[in-house]
Amino acid sequence: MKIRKILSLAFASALLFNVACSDDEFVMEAPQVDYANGIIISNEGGFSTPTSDVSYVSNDLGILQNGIYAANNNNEILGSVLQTIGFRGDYAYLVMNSPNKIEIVNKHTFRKQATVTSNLDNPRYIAYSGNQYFVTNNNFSTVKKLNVYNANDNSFVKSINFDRYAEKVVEAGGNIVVQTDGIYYDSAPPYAGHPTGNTITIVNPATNAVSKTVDLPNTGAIIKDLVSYNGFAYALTSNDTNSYIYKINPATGAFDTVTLTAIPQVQKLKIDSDKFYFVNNSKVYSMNISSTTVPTTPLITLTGVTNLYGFNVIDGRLYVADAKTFTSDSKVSVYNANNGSLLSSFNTGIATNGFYKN
Amino acid sequence: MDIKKSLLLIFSAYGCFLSAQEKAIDTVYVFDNQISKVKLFHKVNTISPEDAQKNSTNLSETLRFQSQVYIKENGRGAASSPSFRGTTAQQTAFVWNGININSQFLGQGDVNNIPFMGFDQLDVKSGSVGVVYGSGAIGGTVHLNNSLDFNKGFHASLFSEAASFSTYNNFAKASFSNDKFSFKFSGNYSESENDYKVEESRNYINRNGQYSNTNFNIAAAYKIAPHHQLSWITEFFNGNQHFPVFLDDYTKTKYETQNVRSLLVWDWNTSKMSNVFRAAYTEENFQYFDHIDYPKSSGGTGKNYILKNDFNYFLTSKWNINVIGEFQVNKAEGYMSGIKGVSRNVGSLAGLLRYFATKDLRFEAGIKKDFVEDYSSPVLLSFSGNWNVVTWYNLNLNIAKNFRYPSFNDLYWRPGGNIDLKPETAYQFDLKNQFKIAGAKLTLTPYYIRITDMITWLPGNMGYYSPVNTYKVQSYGLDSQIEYEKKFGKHTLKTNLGYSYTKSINLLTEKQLMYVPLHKFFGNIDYRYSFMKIYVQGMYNGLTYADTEEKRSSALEPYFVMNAGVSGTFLKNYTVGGKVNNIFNEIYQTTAFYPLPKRNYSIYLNINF
Repeated sequence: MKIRKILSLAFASALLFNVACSDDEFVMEAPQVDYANGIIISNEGGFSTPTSDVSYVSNDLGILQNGIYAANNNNEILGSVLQTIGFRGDYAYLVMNSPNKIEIVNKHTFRKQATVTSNLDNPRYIAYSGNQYFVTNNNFSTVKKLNVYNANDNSFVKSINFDRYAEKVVEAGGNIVVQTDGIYYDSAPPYAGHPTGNTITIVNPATNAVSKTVDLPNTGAIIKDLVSYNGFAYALTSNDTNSYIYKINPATGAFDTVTLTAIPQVQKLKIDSDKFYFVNNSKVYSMNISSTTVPTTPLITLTGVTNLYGFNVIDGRLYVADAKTFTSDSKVSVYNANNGSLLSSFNTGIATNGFYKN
Repeated sequence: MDIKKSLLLIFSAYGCFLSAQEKAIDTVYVFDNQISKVKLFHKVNTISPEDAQKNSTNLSETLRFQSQVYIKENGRGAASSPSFRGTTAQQTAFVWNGININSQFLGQGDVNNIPFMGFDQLDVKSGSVGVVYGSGAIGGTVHLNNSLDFNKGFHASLFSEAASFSTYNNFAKASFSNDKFSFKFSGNYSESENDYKVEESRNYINRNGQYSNTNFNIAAAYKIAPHHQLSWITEFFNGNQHFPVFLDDYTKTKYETQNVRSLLVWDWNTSKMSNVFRAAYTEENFQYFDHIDYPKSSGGTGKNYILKNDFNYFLTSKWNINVIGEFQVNKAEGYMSGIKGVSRNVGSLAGLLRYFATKDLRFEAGIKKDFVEDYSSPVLLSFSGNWNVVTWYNLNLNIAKNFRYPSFNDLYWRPGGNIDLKPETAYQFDLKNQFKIAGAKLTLTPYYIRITDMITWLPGNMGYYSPVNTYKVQSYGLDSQIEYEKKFGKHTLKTNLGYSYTKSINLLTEKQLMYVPLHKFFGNIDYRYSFMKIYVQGMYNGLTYADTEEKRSSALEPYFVMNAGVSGTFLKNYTVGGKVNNIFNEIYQTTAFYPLPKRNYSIYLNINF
């Protein structure tokens, strides 16, 4: 009968296309490795598609594995917006912003051990002290809090609410240091951004209460980054003319200021081997942390980078991720942090936002 | 002889490629007066309400299985956007009774929130339709048209359907007409729990996927005097969608929208002249809830006041001139988007000159200039020719320059909105070749589109996204179609098969655009014997990239989905039917990670009074 004939034609052509489209592209094998022997890379993923996952590159940069969460957990979806990864003991904590959860995996195998969801609302960053961990939550509206969890059984301990957005959180000198600052924009183009307050809040993990609030000088500069190094917290702020690094003593709340004169809009700050590394647009600078001389020439001038997203310096290597237009895999470049020479580059996942020493 | 009759003459002269709707033009009043003229120069695929009932879930499904459009849907019934010929959703115009109803905020039509049970004819057109439908009509247009009959007395019908995943669909329609007056009312209510499972696709469950929508449509026309008619149509739509989440812990979100569209038309026809004056009001309201239990987190209201005059005059029996003037006021008020008290005046003037050289050869040239307040827009141009070369071969050429101006979000979103954006401008060309062989109609249409100044939202170093004019896109490909209809005794066989090849390249990266399949096939075969009817429909979608760098491992695998249905009509007015969708349990996605349902069923009853 005619219908059958036409149908079989349709099927035949469907098969034809299937064959025509079959692909012989290289598909990466995932040999079992101990992920503790390398760098863990977080791929934030899309907002509406759950493309978050984790990449691994070995210390010698010889082995790259993308999608190690799915590969080691029966192809399970991790979710969307992997904000950050924290490490404690044998575990890695994957903080998932949009799904409101933290996936705890074994840091050697990346197999899932536990999922934390209690009281999470748009979790952002994580820090550890003693047998507790601390997670900021920020929904850019009403939720501005730090959640405290017991690390032994992952039970929720309490929330500490703030007046302003709770963003980055680090442990420094036995204290929990929280970036409590937000940004608001002018209502007319070019929509200049302003800080809502420039405060850093210090929480005592012994009492789980706020011990101090540090008011950084208001230079119209917004807090862009917060890192911990040798017991001190370092906050980065920047505006259109200068950038500033504040070295904060978490015990007293006192701080020293390093002014990066004439280097505006520094976005990211990392510290490795007593050196600051910071980025303004496509220029990566380094500077000794005890120095007061501002560098005039960059260590590296990045070329062909559309959207510098993830950035870190780990054991003398500088990692930079270009998220491009967030619609394709990011490109990671690894440089020698001392002389700026390019060591390697490779593709990871969508919106690579962080590099971590495992 | 009035203009409709002379048009009718033209139509019957070219009757070989006109459908039934057009032949009956003197007894059926179609609200969009331009669509019949468009069909003189362009290939338009018409989907009847009866055909649409095969895919009664939503407009996404209807277009996916019955047209060449690619529909990207974030789960069944959720957010959905179209792509014609490799262009974007903003480059597709949804036209309701001649009025562009794309959202002023997003610049695109929200496919699953467009009421489609109430229309009388759904016209799908790939490529530009010339200058008539304005901004955004670059890749193609979807026309939701209503019509009114005269001298048909009283009619009423009821359609009621129950389907898998607790889906219920009800539609009622009543109409009355005599020789001077016509009235029609229809109402539709659809709802679905929509909790389907696709274990094979990472144990997917369509959590938080429920939706419901309500639609009312009222139309009336009255012949007030010889040569004069007043017509009115109003539509209300109310949609509630929850957006699917991948895991239970995700924050569940939902979206609600309420739309009103109203149109008043005064038709004045004399022997050589026809003038159509239209006054319209369209209103869109939407609210997004970033947590289903909390108050809305963002939203907006857009109102458009439209006056349009369409003057058509036959200078001689061969030369026809058409002048269309339009004035619109667009108002928008956003909630949590920084769009405050936006009001924009838009005027436009279009001229079309048609030349009917012989009964087998005709041309149309069009020009349009938009005057958008505070904004410069290019002059649009179009040229079409249609030639019956021999009885079995027809050649149809279309060349057009058109554009899309930025949406209110593009211009005014805070922070980020960019009032310095240029419109996206497109140049396009297509050449339709239509062959009639042994009662079958084969259409082959190669096309080429070049679009400059594509508007893309990119993150800037200030920490927010902002739209900018970026790359150029070049699309080319082939639309092809075979249509065949045969009646023998009590048997009727109707076939409509389409295949599209689409190459759409970002000229900056030289890569295929996301979510543009190279190959798409759709087919519908209907067979009727006396009171029994069966149909099968199939859709093949080739490999589809889900990123901008043609990454093979994250691309959507090719799929073939087939649906079928059977119905029987008893005691003349009672039709009972059943459908099986996705017979072969194909696992398929149109948006990465959001599989659509496996095999599912529906039964329905249709009663005519």
